[in-house]
Amino acid sequence: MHNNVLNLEDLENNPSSRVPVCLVLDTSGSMENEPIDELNEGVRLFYEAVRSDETALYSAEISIVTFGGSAMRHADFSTLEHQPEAPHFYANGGTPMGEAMNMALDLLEKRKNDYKASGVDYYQPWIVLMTDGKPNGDSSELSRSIQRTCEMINDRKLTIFPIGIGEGADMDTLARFSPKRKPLKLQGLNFREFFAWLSKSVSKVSQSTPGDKIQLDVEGIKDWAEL
Amino acid sequence: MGWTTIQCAVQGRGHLTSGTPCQDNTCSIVKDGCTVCALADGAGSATLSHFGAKAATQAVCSYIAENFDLVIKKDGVTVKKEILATVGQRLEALCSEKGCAIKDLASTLLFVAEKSGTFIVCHIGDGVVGYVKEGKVLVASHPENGEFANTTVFTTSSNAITSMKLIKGKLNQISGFVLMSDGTEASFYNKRKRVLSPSLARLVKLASVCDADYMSQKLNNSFENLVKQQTSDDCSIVLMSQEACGRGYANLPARDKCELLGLANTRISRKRLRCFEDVLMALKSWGTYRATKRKLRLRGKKLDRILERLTRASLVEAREDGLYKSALRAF
Repeated sequence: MHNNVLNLEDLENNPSSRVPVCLVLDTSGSMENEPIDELNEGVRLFYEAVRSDETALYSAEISIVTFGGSAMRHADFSTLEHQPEAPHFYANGGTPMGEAMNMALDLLEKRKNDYKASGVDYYQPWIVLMTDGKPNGDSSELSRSIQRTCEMINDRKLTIFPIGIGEGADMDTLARFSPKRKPLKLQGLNFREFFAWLSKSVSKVSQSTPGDKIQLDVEGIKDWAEL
Repeated sequence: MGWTTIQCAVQGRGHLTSGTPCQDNTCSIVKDGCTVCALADGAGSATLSHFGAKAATQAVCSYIAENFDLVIKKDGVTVKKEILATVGQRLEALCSEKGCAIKDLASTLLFVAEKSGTFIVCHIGDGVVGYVKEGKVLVASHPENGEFANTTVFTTSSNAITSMKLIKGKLNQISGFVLMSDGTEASFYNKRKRVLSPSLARLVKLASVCDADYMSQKLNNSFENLVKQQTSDDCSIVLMSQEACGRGYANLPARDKCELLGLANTRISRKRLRCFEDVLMALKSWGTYRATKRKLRLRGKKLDRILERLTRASLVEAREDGLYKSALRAF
């Protein structure tokens, strides 16, 4: 019985709209032992949660930049369909936060150009910046990255989640990256809870339609961080 | 000149899960020789946008149907202002009735109107307006999104007038128009190439010869079973198709018949068209396989093959109790 006036092959196969998420993570020497182990486990669980969510799997594009000694790209923007395994991090070296943020912003610009060139719709990108210390890279790089980030946030072109880990985290510098939202301090080493919240939020965004206001679950944040 | 209007709006999978009503709305009016069709997609964040979408389509359809002759003579900026004012007034009245803010009624708006061979197309926000000319589907107005996937312009936006597109012209060889919301856009608009799916030409052609109720039901089934599965958003469409003149399907050129039947336009195919037409004529009212076969003196499995192709092409309706009927409109 032919109930349809159309067949699947009559339809266009447009790619899913993407949610670019960049994790900018502190892997400096001070993160050694338990913090880096917990961070690795948190990112692994984040990958697992995104992979198991059908919408997020095809929508979330994750990139990871670390700063431990130098800024380093561990993963370029791609869905977890293409890069299913979470990278593993080792703690080492100084804290060049500005260099890492600039690298993340450059990767983001490049990816947005790719989307535009290939007709892929995308949502407002997210950057998650995590550190347990004070930036000690080039100060001009740090200022430049703060300025770029703030401009994008004020133009509503970026959402940032700055997260401080432990008592040594420089919350003032994190605040300079975030003109609209106060930086958050992770309770203990609750990376897992944070990344579980992040994957749920990414999934929510990837299902939103024009005019939708994305209400992030702030109550959910309280479980893992202090506002 | 007559137009057939086929429309449907289905609730998206995301809205089904969240219990949100279908925020897409379609409307069409024929008055004093003017045919107007409109489609609006209520904003996801606006709680009462399904009411706003309905008010916008109804307001614009009534206004254009009543004022087409005046509107067509005015300059574009004046017309844009008048359309926004008309919709705005209706939304203001609805605000008082519902006790809500105007932004709660935000929606996109697309419409097409035709009278005496002249048409007007208007578009605010996302979704696509397409048209069919000489068998080809072309885009009249592309979607207007912001940089991000979940941003667009609405009837209530401050920049509605600057992003609003208004087109007028002579029909010439245009045989149909298509309005679609962004949910439907996911299935019929190639975002990379910025073109519409050629399958829309067949739908417009089919609408011009088939019974309107049958076509509506078929379109609705296809939207429920196929189109809305490609997105979580509501999906809606309006097909405004010029009615085939004279004897309808029988008067179509062989090339068009081949296209409707899914046959290659070759000499052999064209020779086979007669058999298909005989079956369509024999099935003007519900008939059984056996009676049709006897009436047309067909041998072996020939009728099976003809009925298979005709039902697949949506030109024959098949019931589970074994009865068949031509889906063509009576001319």
